[in-house]
Amino acid sequence: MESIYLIQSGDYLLGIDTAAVITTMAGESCLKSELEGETILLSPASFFNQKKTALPPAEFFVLEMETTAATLLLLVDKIVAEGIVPSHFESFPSLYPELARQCCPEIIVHNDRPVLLLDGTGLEDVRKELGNDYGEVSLAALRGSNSTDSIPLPHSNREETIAQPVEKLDDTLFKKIVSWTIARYLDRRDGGSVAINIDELPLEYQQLMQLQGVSDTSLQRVIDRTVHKCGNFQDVVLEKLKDKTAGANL
Amino acid sequence: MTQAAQREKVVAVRAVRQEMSGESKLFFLFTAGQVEEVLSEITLLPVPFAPSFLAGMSLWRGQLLPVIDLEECFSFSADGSPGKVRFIVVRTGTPESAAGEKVFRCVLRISEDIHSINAPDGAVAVSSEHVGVQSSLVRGTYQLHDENYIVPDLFSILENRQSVKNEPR
Amino acid sequence: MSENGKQDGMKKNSGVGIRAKLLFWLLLIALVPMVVVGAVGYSLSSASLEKQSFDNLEATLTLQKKSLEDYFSERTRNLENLVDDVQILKQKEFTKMTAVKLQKEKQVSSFFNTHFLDVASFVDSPQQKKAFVDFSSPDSFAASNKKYSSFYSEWLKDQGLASMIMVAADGHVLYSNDDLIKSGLSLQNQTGTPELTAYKKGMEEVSFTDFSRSSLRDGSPAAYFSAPVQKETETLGVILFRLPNDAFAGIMQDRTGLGETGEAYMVGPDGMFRSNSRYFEVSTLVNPEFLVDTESVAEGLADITGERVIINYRGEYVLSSYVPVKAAGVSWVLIVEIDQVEAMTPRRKGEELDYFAAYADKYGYPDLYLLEPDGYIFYSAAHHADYRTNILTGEFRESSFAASVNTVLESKKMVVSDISRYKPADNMPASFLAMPFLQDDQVSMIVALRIPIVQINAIMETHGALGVSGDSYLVGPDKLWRTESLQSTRYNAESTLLNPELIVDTKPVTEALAGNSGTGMTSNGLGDKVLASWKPFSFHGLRWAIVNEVSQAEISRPVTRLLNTSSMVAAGGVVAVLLLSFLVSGGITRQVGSIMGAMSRVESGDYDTRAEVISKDELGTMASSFNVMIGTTKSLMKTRQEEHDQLQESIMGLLMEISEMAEGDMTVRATVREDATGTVADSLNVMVEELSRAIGKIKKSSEQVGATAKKLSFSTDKLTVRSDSQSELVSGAVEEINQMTLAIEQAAVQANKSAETSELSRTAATEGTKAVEDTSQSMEAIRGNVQDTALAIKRLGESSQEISDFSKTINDISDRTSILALNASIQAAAAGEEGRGFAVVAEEIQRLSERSAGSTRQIDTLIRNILGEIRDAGVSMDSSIQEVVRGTKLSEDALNKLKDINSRSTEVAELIGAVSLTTNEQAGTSVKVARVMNEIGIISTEAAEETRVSSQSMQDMALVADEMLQAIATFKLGDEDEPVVVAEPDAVSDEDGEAVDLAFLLSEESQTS
Repeated sequence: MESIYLIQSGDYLLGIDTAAVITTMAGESCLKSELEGETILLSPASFFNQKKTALPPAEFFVLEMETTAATLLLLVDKIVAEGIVPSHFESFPSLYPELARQCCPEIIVHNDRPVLLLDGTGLEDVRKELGNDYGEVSLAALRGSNSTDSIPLPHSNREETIAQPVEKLDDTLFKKIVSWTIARYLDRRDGGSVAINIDELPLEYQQLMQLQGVSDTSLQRVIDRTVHKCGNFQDVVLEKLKDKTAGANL
Repeated sequence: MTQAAQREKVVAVRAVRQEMSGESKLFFLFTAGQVEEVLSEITLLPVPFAPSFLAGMSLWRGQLLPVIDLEECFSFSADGSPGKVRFIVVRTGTPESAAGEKVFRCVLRISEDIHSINAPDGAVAVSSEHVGVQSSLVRGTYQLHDENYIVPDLFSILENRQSVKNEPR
Repeated sequence: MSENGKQDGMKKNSGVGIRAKLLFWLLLIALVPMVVVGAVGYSLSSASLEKQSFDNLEATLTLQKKSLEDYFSERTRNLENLVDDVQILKQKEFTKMTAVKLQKEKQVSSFFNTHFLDVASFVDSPQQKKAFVDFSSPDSFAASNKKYSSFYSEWLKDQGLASMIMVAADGHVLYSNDDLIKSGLSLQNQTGTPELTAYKKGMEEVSFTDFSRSSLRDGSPAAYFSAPVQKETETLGVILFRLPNDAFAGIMQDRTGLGETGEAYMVGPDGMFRSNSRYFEVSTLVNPEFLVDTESVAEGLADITGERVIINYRGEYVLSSYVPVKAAGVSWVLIVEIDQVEAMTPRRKGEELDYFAAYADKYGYPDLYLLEPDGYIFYSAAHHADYRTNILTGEFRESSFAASVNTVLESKKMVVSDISRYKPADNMPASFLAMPFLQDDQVSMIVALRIPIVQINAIMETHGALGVSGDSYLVGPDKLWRTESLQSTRYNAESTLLNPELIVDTKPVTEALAGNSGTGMTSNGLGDKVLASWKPFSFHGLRWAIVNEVSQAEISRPVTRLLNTSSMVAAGGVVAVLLLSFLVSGGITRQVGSIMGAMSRVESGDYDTRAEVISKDELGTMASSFNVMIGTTKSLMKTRQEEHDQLQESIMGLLMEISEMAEGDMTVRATVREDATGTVADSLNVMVEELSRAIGKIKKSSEQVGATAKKLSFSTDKLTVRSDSQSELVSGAVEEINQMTLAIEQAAVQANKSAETSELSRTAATEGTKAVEDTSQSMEAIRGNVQDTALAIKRLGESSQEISDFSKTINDISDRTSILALNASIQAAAAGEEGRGFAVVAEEIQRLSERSAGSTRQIDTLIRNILGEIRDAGVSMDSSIQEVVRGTKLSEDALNKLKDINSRSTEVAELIGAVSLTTNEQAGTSVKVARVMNEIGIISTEAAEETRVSSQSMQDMALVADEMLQAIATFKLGDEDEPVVVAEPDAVSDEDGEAVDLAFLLSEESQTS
C-alpha cells in the first residue's frame, strides 16, 4: 500500500488503497454515463449503519473499486484527498466490532483524525454475510432523484430522466401517470400551486395501481418528482414529453 | 490528618436519562484516580456496525479510544432534553495498578453534571434492581438519603464483546 | 198588498208542496226498510254478543276456579309430602338413636357385670383374704400397708375404680386409700350414707350401691361395689370399691350418631341423673337441682323401651329414645335425645340450605315452618321475626297464622288460612297452609307453608277472554280484595289487595260468598255497569268469591260500532235519496216554476217577459201557448196608446205655440194640423201677423239711437283705459329706475368694502405662507434628528449584539474554566495529600467559573431583553421617520397651496377695485335718467284725466239708448233669427272701426229683408 484515497461517506472518514481504485467520477457524469440503470452502487455510510435505502446528497462521487471477485461502485459524499501516504497505523479501540474488523481491517491517523482503511474483499464478504441489500442504490433510482439539472439527451430514454420509482411499477402505468401529471402541471401552472395529489388520479389508474400493488406513497413520490422536474423544461419539451408518454400506452 | 481528609475522593456524574421515583437522583461514581480527564468536546468518528451504546471512537493523546454513551449502555431511556454533554476519559484500575495488569481506557459520554466530591459517607449497598441496572455491568450500587450511586464495571463494559457483535445500531 | 201576499203564499204552497211531497215519499220508501233492518240487527247482535260475553266469563271463571282448586290441591299435596318427609326423617332419626341407645345400654351393663366379677374374684382370692386379716391387726397394719398399698392403687386404676375401703365386720374402717375416709372410722354411725348402705349390702353379698350424696364426702356423690371377705363361713368384713363419678362418662360422651345437639344420659329411679349432662357445667350427677321428670324417664323406669317426641329436662322439644338399664340391682333409664330442630332439618354436607329451606326454595314458598304442638316455631326457612317465637302466645298471636295453628290443633286436620297481612313478612299479605303431624293421634308437630300470593294473583290474571276492561278477582268474607285488580289504576290505589278502603259490597260477591254461582248484569266496586260472573270458592276453611267481570261498554262496543256504521249508511241513503228526488222533481218543478215566474212578471206589467220552455211535455206546450198569448196582448195595447199620444201631441203643440206668442214672440205661428186643433191654429196665426208688424217699426228706430251712443261711449272708454295704463307704466318705470340707482350706489359701497377685505386676505395669505415655510423647515430638522436617532439605535443594537457575542465567548471561557477546574480538582484528588493545596485552588477556580457562568447567563438574558427592546425601538423609529417624512411632505404641499392663494387674492383685489369704480359712474347716470322719467309721468297723468271726463259723458248717453231698447225688446219680430247685436267692448279690436261697421251691416240687412 503506497498511497490511499481519503473519502468521506456520511460521518465516516475512509481510506482506499489507490491501487484498488479503478476510476473516480463526479456523480453527474456517472448519471449521464452509458451505465445501465440496473447497476448497483453501494453507499458505505448507509451500509455501515445498516440502512436499507441509500439516498445520496445533492452532490456525490462514484469510485469504482476493485475487489477479488468483481468491481464495486462506491457512492461517496466527497473525495477528501488522494495520494495520502499512510504512516502511523493505529490499533483497534476496544469494542471494535467484528464486522468492522472485516470491512476495515486497519486504521490510520491522518491530520489527528482516525481513518478506516476499507478492504474491498472484506466488504464484499460482509455484504454477502448480511445479505440484506444494506446501503445499496440502483443507478436508475439515482437518475430518478438526481437529474434535476440534466437535459434529456436525444438518444437516451427521456422517461427515465424524469423519474423512476424505486418501487416496481409497470412501465405502461408509469408512463400513463407521468403523462397525466405533465398534463395536469401544464393546466395548473399559471394558477399558482401546482401541487398534485394522488387522489386526483383517474379512477382507472388508481385501480391499476391497486392491482399492481403500488403504494400510495411511492406513486405520490413519482408525481411529486415529475412536477418538480417539469419546472426545468420548456413547454414545448413538456408537450412532446407528454405526447410521447401518452403515446406509449396506445 | 483528619478523618474527612482521609476519605477517598470520587467523581460523581449525574445520570439524567434514568427515571427515578420522587426526588431521587442517580449518580455514576468513579474514583478520582480512574478519571484521566474531563473534556467538553471531542472529535468523534463513528464505528461501522457499532452497537447503540458505542458512540464512536476518538483520538485522545494519540490513543484511539472507544466513546461509550454510558447511560445508553445501561439502557436509560427517559425522555427529556439531555442537556449539555461532556466526555470523561476513564480507565480501568487505578494508577497504582500492577505493572503487568492491562489498563483499558475509554471515553464516556455523560451529562455535564459532574462533581469531584468526597466518597459519600454512610451510603449503604443496595441491590442493582433497586436502581434498575444490569448487575453484570456494575461493581456496586449504593444509596444515601435520596441519592443512588452506581459504580460501573468498566472492565465488564469494555470486555463485553459478545453483545457487541452483530447488534444493529 | 194583501192580495199580493196571498198570491205569494199560493205560489209557495204550490211549488214547495210538490217537491216536499216527492221528497217525503221517496225518503220514506228508502229509509224505512233500512231502519227496520238496523234495529233488528242491533237487537240480535247485542243479545248474541252479550251471551257470548257471558259464556266467556263463565268459561274463564270455571277455568280459574279449577286452577285455584288445582293450585291449593297441589299445595296440599306438597304439605302432605312434607309431613311424610317429617315422618320419614323422624323415623330415620329414631332408628339411628335406637341403635345408639342399645349399644350404650350394652356397654353400661357390661361395665356392671365386669366389675361384679372382678370385685368378687378380688375378695375371693386367698391373698386378699390374708391381707384383710393383716390389716385387721394393728401390729401388722404398717407392714401390710407398705406391702399392699401400691398394689391396690395399681389394681384400682386397672379396674377404673376410684378407691378401696376395707371395713371390718363391725363397721370399722380397717384400711382406706380414699382421702376422705380414714381408717378407724366406724360406718355404723354414718346413717344415710352410701358407705353404710354399701357396707351393709356388702356384708350379705357382692352388690352395688347406687349413687347418692354422702355426708362423709362433703355431700358429693358416691357409688360403691361392695363385697364380703369370707374365711370359710365367717365374714371378716367388707371391701368397698368406689366408682369414680365419671365412671360412665366415657360411654355417655361418645356422641357417635348424635349430631350436634344430641346427648346420652342416664337417670336413676329417683329422677336424678346418673351421668353428667353436657349442657351444664356443674355436675348433674344425683344433683337434686336437676330432676328429669319426662315421659321417657317414666316409661323407661317402667321397663319400657321406646321413643317419642317430648319436652326434655331442658324444656326443649327433642326426639327421645330410652331404654331401661337393669344390672347389679340398679334400675336406671338410659336416654338418648336429639333436638327436634336438628333432627327435622338435616343438612346435607356441602349444601347451603337444609332440607326444608331447599324444599321451600325449590317450590317457591316464601317460608316453611315447623312448629311444636305448643305453637313454638322451632324451624323457619326464611328466619323472619316469627322464627323461634311461639305463634300462639308470642308477639304474633293475633295473626291469621296463629288462628290457623289453633284450628289445626283443635281439628287435627289441615287448615288453609285466608290471605291477611302478616307482620313478620314485612306486613305483606300472606296465606298459610298448616298441617298437623300426628303421633299417637296427638299433634306432635305442625308443618306449615306460607303460600306465595303472587301465584294466586297469577291465576286470576289469566284474563285473555276478559278484554281490556275486564277484571278477575277474589274477595274474602270480609269483602276485601284477595287479589290485585287488573284495573288497579282505575281504583286509584297502589294495591287493591286487602285494601280496607276498597270494600266490594256487590251482588256477585254477596251471592258467591253465600255459596251461589251466577251470571248477570250488575255494577262492580267502581259502580261501573258490568257483566259479571261469580262462583264461590272454598278450600279447607277458605271461603272466597271469585268474580269475573267485563264492562258493558266493552261488550257493546262492536254493536255500537255496527250501529254507527248503520247510521252512516242511513245518512248516506238520505243524501242519495235527496239528490235523486231533486233530480226527478227538478224536471217538473222547474217548468212549472218558469211558467209561474213569467205569469208573476206579467202581473207586474212586464209584457216582454216569456216563460222558458224547458220540458217537451204538456207543461212545455203550456209555456209556449202562454208566451204567444202575452205577445198578442202586448201588440193590441201598443196600437191604442199611439192614437192617444198623437192627439195629445197636437194639443200640446198648439198650447206651446200660443204660450210663446203670449210672451211676445211674434215670429211664432200655430201649426195647422189635420185634427180638431187645425181651425183654432189658423185663426190664431192671422191675429199674431198683425201685431208683429206694428212692434217692428218701433224697434228699429230706437235701435239706431242706441247703437250710435254706444259706439261713442266705447271709443272714449278705450281712450281712458289707454291713458291710465300709460301713466301707470311711466310711474312704474320711474320707481324701478329709482330702485336701480339705489342698488348701484349700494353696489359701489360694497365694491369698495370688498376691495379692502381682499387686501386683508392677501396679507393673511402671505403671512400664512411664511408660517408654513417655517413649519416645513422645522419638519426637515426633525426628520434629520429622527434619522440620527434611528442610526444611533441601530448602532446600539449592533453593540448589544457584540456584547452578546462577547458574553457567549465569556460563557465559553467559563465553561472551559469549569472543566479545567474540574480536571484540576480530580487530578489533585488523585494526587492525594500532595494535591491538597492544589485542590483548594481548583475549587476556587471552579467557584469562579460558576460565578462567571451565572453572570454571563444574566448578561445573556439582559442582552436578549435589550435586543428585543431595540428591535421594538427600531420598528417604532422607522414608523416615526415615516411620519416625519409625511409631515414634511404635507407642509410643503400646504406652502405651495398658500402661495397659490396669495397670488390669486392679489388678482381678486385688483378686479374688485375696477368694479367699484365703474359702479360709481353708473350710479350717477341712473339718477339723471330717473329725473327725466319723472317728468314724463306727470304729463301722462294729466292727459289721462282729461280723457276720463269725455268718456263719462259718452257713457251717460249710451245708457239712455239702452233703456229705450229694453222697453221694446220683449217683442220678437218676424224673420229675425237673432236679436239685435249690440257690439260688446270685447269684440272691439284694434281694427274696431271695421268690426262696428260689420255689425251695422248686419242690422241693415235684416231690416231690408
